[in-house]
Amino acid sequence: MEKNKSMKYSDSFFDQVKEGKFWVLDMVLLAFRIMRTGNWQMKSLFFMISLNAACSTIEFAIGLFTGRIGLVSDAFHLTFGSGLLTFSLFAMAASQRKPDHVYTYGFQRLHVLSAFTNSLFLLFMSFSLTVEALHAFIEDESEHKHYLVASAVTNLMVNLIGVWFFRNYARINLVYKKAEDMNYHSVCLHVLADSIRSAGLISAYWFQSLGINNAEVLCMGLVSGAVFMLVMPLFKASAGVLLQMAPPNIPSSALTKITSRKDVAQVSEARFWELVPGHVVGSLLLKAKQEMDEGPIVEYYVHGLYRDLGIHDLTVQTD
Amino acid sequence: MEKSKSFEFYSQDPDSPHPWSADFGFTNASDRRYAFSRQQSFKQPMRDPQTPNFSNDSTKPFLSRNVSSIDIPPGFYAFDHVKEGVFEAKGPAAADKFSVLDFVLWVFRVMRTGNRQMKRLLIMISLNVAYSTAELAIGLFTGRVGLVSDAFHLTFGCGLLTFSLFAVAASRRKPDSVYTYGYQRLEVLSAFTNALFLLFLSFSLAVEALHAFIQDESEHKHYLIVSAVANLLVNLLGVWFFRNYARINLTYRKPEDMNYHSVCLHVLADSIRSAGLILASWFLSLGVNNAEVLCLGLVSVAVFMLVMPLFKATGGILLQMAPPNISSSALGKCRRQIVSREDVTEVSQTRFWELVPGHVVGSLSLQVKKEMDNRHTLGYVHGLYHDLGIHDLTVQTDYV
Repeated sequence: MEKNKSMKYSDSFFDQVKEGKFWVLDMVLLAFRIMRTGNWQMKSLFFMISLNAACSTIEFAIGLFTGRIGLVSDAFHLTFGSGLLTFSLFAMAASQRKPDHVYTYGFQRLHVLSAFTNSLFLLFMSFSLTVEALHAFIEDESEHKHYLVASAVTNLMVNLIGVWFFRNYARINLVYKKAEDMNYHSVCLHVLADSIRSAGLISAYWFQSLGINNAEVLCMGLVSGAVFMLVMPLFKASAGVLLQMAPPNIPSSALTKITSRKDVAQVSEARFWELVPGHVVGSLLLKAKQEMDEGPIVEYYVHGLYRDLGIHDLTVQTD
Repeated sequence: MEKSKSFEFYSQDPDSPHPWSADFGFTNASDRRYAFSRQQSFKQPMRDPQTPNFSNDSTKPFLSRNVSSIDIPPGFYAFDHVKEGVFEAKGPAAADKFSVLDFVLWVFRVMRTGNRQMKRLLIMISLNVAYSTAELAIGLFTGRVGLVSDAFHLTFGCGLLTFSLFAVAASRRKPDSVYTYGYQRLEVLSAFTNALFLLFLSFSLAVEALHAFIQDESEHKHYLIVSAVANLLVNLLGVWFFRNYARINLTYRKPEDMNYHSVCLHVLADSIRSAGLILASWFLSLGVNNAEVLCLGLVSVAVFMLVMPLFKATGGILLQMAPPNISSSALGKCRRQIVSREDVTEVSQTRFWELVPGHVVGSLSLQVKKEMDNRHTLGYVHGLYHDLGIHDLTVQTDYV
């Protein structure tokens, strides 16, 4: 009665990847496999990551040759961001494995963890943008590097392409129906935040050229506040799932309905938690009044009651 | 009557339906360290608001109330094994809503009566805050940007430590209708966040090292050395406070182990970073050219190696991994023993996961032949897994 999830990747492929000595080759093969058999989100994410990698390599090379440090550090920040996107892609690929002895509920939770990691990174980014804004506030002269604007424009273009790919998820408060929703939402917010940051840099440069003095401080501060507001709902939602929070659609009236039945003495240890958005797991302890003849009937009723609420994975122990 | 006073704080389900679980909570009475401190301020026991209120009389032993079928609590359950005394949460006005403000205020109340580790964390955090404020002020007055950005980085690390402290305080809260398993998972999440931050720190140190590699001349700011020395001293104090957890591979027995381990690794990594900066400036003054690159690179690698085991362990728990300290062969053996009983036809949907280190939850589904009384089977199954350390097991019996 194990729920079989449809899987696209065989388990043996992943085992080979882990044990292989020539892991670079395995990664390349995995990349090709993603391109061939992934769904459109995976494919567009893969495209985004390769675009980011290409941009950052070019920027790094140009920075090294011309000796401009700003380009080099910008290239590193870009690489870091695309490393996070790679982790999201990895989560998308790996979470399709079937449950095994160690991960008895399967790997879907990787989506939630990757969404949490992305949102945490965006929070860190928002704080560091605040620090940059205060930095610019303290340093009265603007050490403005004009060549960075070109890289900001390119960055903006690339990230806007990403937002266009994931435009279905470009909302702040999103209803998560499946596990992947959180992951895709986090990827979309990531590229959105990056594009807001690049847009902020460009407008700060423009305002500075117009003569407004504290332009950089204002723009960086606004961007930081915007990214923080963007990412908070996702952060709270993914943290809630990871903290075994019960989903809000379980009324306590359900339990009173059960206990109001004549053959039920007590219901206890009612636990509900979301494995991933859309998959609620629950467990209950029932004490029946009469002997076990009524047991199956009560269980059937309880299961039906919760199935109507959307909880299919319920374990009921009747004493 | 000391015993009845400690009953007041015992979690709610007095007659646990498992006769095989010997822990009815009396072990709390032996935990004398905490029996005295927190009684006066929390009087109202938190029950589900749909239940009529029990008496608040602290002299009446709690166990005298038998759960009867007339007055039926919906059974929101709290833990059997509470380690350090249970805090009565102040009953929220709207039972099903989760108010952040209430939660934060409750946590601050708890922090005043904290245990040793919490107090140490509080000392550490206040030291850090004082130090970073001083550094910020000095940097602003003298106009040195390096000090200001260092102060901000310090504040950021402080914020993370505050979150860990918050998690330690909040994890004592009893389970309620929104968090049916309680709040202990917050400690695991805070350990994961700390580990992630340390990974980010290691990457950014690697970036700094490459930065220093590319910039041939060392833009060395000498006033930063003083701040690095002070930082090192403060962090070494923190390492001393948490010296029990100063290992890389640690076995986590209780939920707070992970949190304290992450705090220790945090201060350890910070002290390694300050030591690296001091070493780099010393080598530079000795004339070694790429000293900064080497030192920062080494520090980055060291922090990465430090934090990896914690990261993997917390990630495993958050991913609902089966507990690593129970081998799958032992679980398989239990399963075979159950199937070999003559009244059991099939065992399915065996799920095991760790809520927090030390608390394993399991559930499985049995197909039983109809004529047998399933109490023996249930008792046998629960006993089997109880020997492995899985106390929280829900077994569903379906009749063929």
